[in-house]
Amino acid sequence: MWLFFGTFVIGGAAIGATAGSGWAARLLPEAGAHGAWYASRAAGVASYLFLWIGLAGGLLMSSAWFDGLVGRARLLAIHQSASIAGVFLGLGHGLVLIPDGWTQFGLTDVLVPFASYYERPDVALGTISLYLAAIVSFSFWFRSAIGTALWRWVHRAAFIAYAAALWHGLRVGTDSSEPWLLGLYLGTSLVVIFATTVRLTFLKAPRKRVAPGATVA
Amino acid sequence: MTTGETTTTGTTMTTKRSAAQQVKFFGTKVAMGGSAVAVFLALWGAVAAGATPDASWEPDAAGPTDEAPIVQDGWQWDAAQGEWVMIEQAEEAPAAAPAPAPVVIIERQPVYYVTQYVEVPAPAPVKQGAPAAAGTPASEGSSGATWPAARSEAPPAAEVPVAPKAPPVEVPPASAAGYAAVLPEPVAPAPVIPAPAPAPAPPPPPAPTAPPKPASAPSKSKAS
Repeated sequence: MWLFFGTFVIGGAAIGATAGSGWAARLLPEAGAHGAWYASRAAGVASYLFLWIGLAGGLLMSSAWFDGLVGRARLLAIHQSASIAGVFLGLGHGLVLIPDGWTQFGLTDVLVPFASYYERPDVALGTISLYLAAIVSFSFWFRSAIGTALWRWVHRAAFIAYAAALWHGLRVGTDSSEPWLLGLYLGTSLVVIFATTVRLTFLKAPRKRVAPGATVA
Repeated sequence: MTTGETTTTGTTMTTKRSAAQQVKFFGTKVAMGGSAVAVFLALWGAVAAGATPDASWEPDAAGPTDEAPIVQDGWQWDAAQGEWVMIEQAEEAPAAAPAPAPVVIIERQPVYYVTQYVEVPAPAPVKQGAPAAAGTPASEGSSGATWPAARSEAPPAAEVPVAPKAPPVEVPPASAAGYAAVLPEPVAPAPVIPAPAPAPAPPPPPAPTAPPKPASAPSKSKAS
């Protein structure tokens, strides 16, 4: 399923990238030859938003304080899917810049930290954030292999990934000076701070140990 | 229906959910994925709709007309050709045109003035005192430069009749130390030394030979 989502997101971005004057770009008003550039900006903001949803969902899951708001199972689905969607959007955000004729980013600029010719530290933070988010997100399927203790430590890297993505967006985001985006950054950051505070100072989610074979409703 | 198997601290937990819950679980994931795509497309459209072709980040559209031409040392950067071109002299406007032809600077060069002092043999001493040109104002030169007026320390030569003022340009300057300022260039023909004014006796001393004086050189008269 995630392969489908990833292909869909990257494919949508690639359409705008490779055919800025083509079919996909013609659907958009005034896109012209900069469809890829616009797609990258949109994918970057969307990636940040879904990484935040994943992080906030994880914080809500791990604290019983919010149990009454959203069901645990649904929250888990949101947490996982939003994180992976954020990773794919972030990957599309970088890759779509490669065929863009204006920014002239190469594969190395996008995928190798500190290899970018433009705003090297800030762009590198975006790349590092993408890798950390990918590691954290895909560790869902390797929890049994790596053990819960390591899995928890890996999961804490989500905070670093989120902070790096936020810094990357604030520093090199073209739209970061827009009030709506500043408001989005501020609001999401406050939510993360609040949820983290709740997670650290209040209740932890009670864990139910169920014997093998037992049925849980 | 078993939907997941997780291991926590050595204890295996097997969670079973009903088919409805399973559908709801995957439905949530599908909804999240779909919303991700929808958000991306919506943002893409919003960014494209709100973007205006900005000349600042679109160098091709901006062109060289938005900026002042880059001129340096008589050369102007031709952005279209990607090379420096020398600024040519503007053609003169026709006579009927009221406005004068614009002056275009072709080339600028730093100008260095070199002052060279050469020793000139002092004129033969005159019997009755200083030459009559002692009182020549310093500002009579053609260049109009105002050099400090020379002060004559010679005693007043009352018995010597005052000679007429020296010719403004042709009279070569003489420095106090017997040196004459010489500019190497441009080379001009030797000045024509006029005949001494008709005069009262005694006649003025012969003018010392001096190098030519350019028009731009400051005149300098000094009593000897």
